Amino acid sequence: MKLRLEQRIFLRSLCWQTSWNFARMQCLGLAYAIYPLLEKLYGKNSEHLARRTRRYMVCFNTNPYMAAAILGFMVHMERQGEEMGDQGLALSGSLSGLYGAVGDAFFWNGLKPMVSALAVMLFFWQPGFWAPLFLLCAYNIVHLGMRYTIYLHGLHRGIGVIETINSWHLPGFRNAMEFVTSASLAATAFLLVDYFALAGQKYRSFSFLLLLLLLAVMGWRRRELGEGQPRLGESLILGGVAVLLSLLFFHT
Amino acid sequence: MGVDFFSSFWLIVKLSLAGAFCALDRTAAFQVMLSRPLVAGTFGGLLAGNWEIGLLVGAALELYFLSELPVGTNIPTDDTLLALAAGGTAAALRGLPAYAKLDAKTLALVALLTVLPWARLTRILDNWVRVRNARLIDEMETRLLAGENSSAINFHLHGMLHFYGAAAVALGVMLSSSLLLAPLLLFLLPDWARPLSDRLLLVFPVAGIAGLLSSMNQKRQLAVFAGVATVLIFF
Repeated sequence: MKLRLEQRIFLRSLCWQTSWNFARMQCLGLAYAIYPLLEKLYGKNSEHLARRTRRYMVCFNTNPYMAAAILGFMVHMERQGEEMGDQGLALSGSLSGLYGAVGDAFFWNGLKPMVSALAVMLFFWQPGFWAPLFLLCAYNIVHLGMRYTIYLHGLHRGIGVIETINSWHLPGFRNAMEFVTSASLAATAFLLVDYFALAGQKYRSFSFLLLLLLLAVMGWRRRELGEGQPRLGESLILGGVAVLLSLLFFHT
Repeated sequence: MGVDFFSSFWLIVKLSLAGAFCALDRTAAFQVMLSRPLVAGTFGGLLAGNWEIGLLVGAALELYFLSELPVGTNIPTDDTLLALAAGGTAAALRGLPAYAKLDAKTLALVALLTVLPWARLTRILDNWVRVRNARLIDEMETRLLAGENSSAINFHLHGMLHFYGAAAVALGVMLSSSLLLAPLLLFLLPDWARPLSDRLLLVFPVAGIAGLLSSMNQKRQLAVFAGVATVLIFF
């Protein structure tokens, strides 16, 4: 089966961050993804092809999923000639910042925590292989679906892809996903009481309250520390005290 | 009492080489969430012969580092490697007759405690890979100037070798140390602490939930959490 040029470019974009570096970030990923088009357009003149490829090795960084929209837009522009390709490249700098923010908020802050929280909740409810399976399916249906759709929109509509993405109201979805995340985290905390046998049926609510208190203390400490990494020792001491209290007073 | 030398060596080699493929999903390729601890832990456990305990390790670790975001040039802790190593260690211990009667949660906790101190190493290696990748730009430009276009463009994929190599090395180091330390920790664990140890694993999901809640910007989400928790108390 021979893939169409557009499909080959999209598949290559799945390796967008393979050579991520601090100097020019995703620059090689961009050049690698768009290369089949450049080869088709300028392949007869090796020097011209090399010059055009180097043109795409500019400093570039955005959300790796939303990069598909920018890549589609760039392919659209490059097809219309070198001058338009250069204009597309110039505009992509602004787009990368915009879609970096939009993509990070939607995928890293919204979808990933939501799907992870739901999968963990499923695990503590009914442990089994289907928790990771749910995580993979739920995340990738949205992720791959959106990634390919925005690529196609960029490819066919050019700069019109901005309108398309804007019409999806991603910040609104992100807020909704945060509500689902919060609810599933509360349910997970509740399920932990039973899973770790912290209390008999009679003292379940007290144990859950103790766990919520522990959560509040840990959350407050994390906020005090800023967005740093979690402190293992501190977590263990706090958790140890809570577990000990739970075992002493509530376990039957 | 511990895992014998040859089976440990084989496990370390197997898990390092196969697990590093799983770790590529994190940055280098696809990013289809094969690198999430829930999946990676299960995979690590599966390679060591017990996917259930690997899944438990993954579930405990899944939320723990989730509030660290890969935004801009920030490099979060590589929880994929930690989950692979901890899942593999827990499963390896589970297979030993000496620990057959121990609760899976205790083994998972011990595996995590021996692996988590390496969290900084994962960030250092990730940083090194990204610095090393910068050289690929010069190498690619040199080839392009020499007119070797097709071979030049594939230099991008050399980054995958860097990520793979770093992940395999990190996994090898983490597994070697945890397979040595975990039996020692279990040996030192007094009998009276056993009921505590199988419950202490809950610290990881709780700390993860706390981290996620503290990173939420809007008070309405916290209100939803409190509301659902209140309903569940009276449930």
